[in-house]
Amino acid sequence: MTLERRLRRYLVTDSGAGSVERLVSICEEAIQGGITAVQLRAKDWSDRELLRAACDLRAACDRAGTLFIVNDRVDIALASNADGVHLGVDDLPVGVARELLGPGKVIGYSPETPDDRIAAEEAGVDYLGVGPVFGTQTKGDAGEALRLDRFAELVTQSNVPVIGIGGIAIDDARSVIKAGAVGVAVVGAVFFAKEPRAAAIELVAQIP
Amino acid sequence: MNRERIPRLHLIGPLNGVLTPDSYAAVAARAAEGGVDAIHVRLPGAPGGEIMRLAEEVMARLGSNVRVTLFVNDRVDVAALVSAGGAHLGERSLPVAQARRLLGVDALIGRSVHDVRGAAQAQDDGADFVLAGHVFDTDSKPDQPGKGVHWISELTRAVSIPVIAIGGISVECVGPVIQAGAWGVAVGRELLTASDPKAVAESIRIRIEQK
Repeated sequence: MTLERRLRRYLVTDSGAGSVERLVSICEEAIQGGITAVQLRAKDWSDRELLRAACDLRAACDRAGTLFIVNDRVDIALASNADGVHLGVDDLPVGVARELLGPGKVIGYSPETPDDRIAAEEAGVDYLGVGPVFGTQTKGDAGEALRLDRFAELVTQSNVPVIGIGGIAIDDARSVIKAGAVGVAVVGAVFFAKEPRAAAIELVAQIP
Repeated sequence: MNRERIPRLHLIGPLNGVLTPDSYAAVAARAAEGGVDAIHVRLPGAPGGEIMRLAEEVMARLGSNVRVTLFVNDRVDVAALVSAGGAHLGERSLPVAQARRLLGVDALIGRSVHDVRGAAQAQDDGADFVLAGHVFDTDSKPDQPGKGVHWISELTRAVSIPVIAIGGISVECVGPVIQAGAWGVAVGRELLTASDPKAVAESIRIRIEQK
């Protein structure tokens, strides 16, 4: 499967799961429902917990052919043999992460300005996470919502595939793809859904 | 592992609320002139970019001073990227074996321990040394009394890798700690708040080497 295709239904985790076991089981359910990529993000967890979650998610993603990405931590990505990392502007720069990861791994990046984006593209980023498309509660520092028209403009300017992130409900997913995204990143809508598997199935119905 | 490769006077910082990351590199460089041979970059929870910048600044200030080893705490990826000589890990950090795989056989890998069992485990896992503490009462951990010099003797009998004593270390107590079998000491406040970090480092160094 191409990277673009694997980025289509992208789940970002949250430390609100409470435990490694719970986080992994939510992801397993979501993968069964049709999630194509999982990003491990769990702020404030210890490195031991992160590594344990990463190794379990690696196995769960392997079984389904799901892309497995680690937020921020290149060391944990390497230790768990993840498919790649997702970096923000405060994290390690894309170029140096590439040095450690080598050419075969996937690097995603969340730019905050056009200059950020251009620098990341020049450093060899594989995809961009652009947002928040809508208002979000799961990431306190995400900034003001872009809305769809501005999001579509940013997609047009980008030279690598873009996924939309931030406050995206299942019912919004189609509109984000229509705006030019190759994929949609969901957090709350699937991760905190009463039934993550059912939520993922609904997402597949929206964006097959 | 040749014991002589393991630094004996470790500086830990910047310590939240004691020094800003910006001023830490300068203090660390001064302390290195006085005999600090390990500088730890410890910024728990900080973004990778910030940790990398501080590590790079410390490296830049050390310049050609090859006697000093930089230890990035917890972030093994940053340690690898800035070509630090080592990484230092806590009980909840990545396991020593994973760090070793990323950093290679020449890197020095330290591990914080709080009891004999932890020290033995760190040795089995392949750590090059342990930071053991806290030995004396310290403002960093006001609710836990120091474990005492005797505890260091106990540890050094239990493991063969070097034991570096940490926690409330002042110039006066370096001698007893070394006599108890510690290979060296790790110091935070005592150096970070000194008006002359170089002079304080020199007095600690003399006591480490006196025995």
